[in-house]
Amino acid sequence: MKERNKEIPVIEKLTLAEARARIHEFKGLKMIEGRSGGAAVSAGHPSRSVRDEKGSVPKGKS
Amino acid sequence: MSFINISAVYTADPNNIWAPKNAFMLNDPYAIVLNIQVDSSVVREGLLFDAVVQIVGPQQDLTGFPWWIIDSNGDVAPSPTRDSTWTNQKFQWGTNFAFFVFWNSYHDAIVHVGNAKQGVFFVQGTVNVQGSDLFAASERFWFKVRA
Repeated sequence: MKERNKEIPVIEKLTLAEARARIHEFKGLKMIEGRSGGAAVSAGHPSRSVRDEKGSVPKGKS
Repeated sequence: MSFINISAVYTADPNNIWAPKNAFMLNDPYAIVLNIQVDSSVVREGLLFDAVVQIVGPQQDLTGFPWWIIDSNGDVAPSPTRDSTWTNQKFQWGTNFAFFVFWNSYHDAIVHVGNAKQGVFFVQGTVNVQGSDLFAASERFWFKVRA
C-alpha cells in the first residue's frame, strides 16, 4: 500500500481548536510513505494453542 | 448454502497472532487479526476477497479529543478511523484461517493521527467476497495504548 502521511509528533491530547492553533508546528514535517506495514495470511485453526502455531507465522512485507 | 464468517477480531503481537493482546506500549509491535471461516464451496470456486481492518478512535465529540489528521489542504480535520484495505486476497489457506495486518509498532500505524497515541480504542474488520453476495463483519475488540 502507498500512503502519504504527515507525522503528528504530539503525545498529549489536543482539541481540534488547540491543534489548529498549533498547526504551524505540524506543517513542514517530513512526508512519510509506505509506513502502513504489511499484511500476511496464516493457515490454521484459531482455537489451537499459540505454541502449536508459532512456527507457522509467515514473514510479511514491511 | 455458502457462508463466510469472522469468528473473532483482536489485536496481537505480530509474532504471536493466535493470542489476543489488549494492552500495548506505543512502540510495541502491533497486529490486527481476523479469524475467518468460509464455506468450502467458496474456496473451490477460487473466489477472491477484499478485507478492511480499522483502528477506531471512539471519541467523536468535536469539542473533545477526537482523532485528527492534517488533510491535503494543510488543515486540521477529524479522522476517527485508521483504515487498512487489502484487495484481491485468495482463499489460499482453506476454510478456517487468520488474516492479519501488522505494523512494526502501533506508533507506525497511527503516526499521522493526533490523539491516537494513547488511550482506549477498538478494532474491527470486514471481508467482502468478490463476485458474490457474501460478506462478513466483525464485532469490536477494545484495547489500550500507553506512551
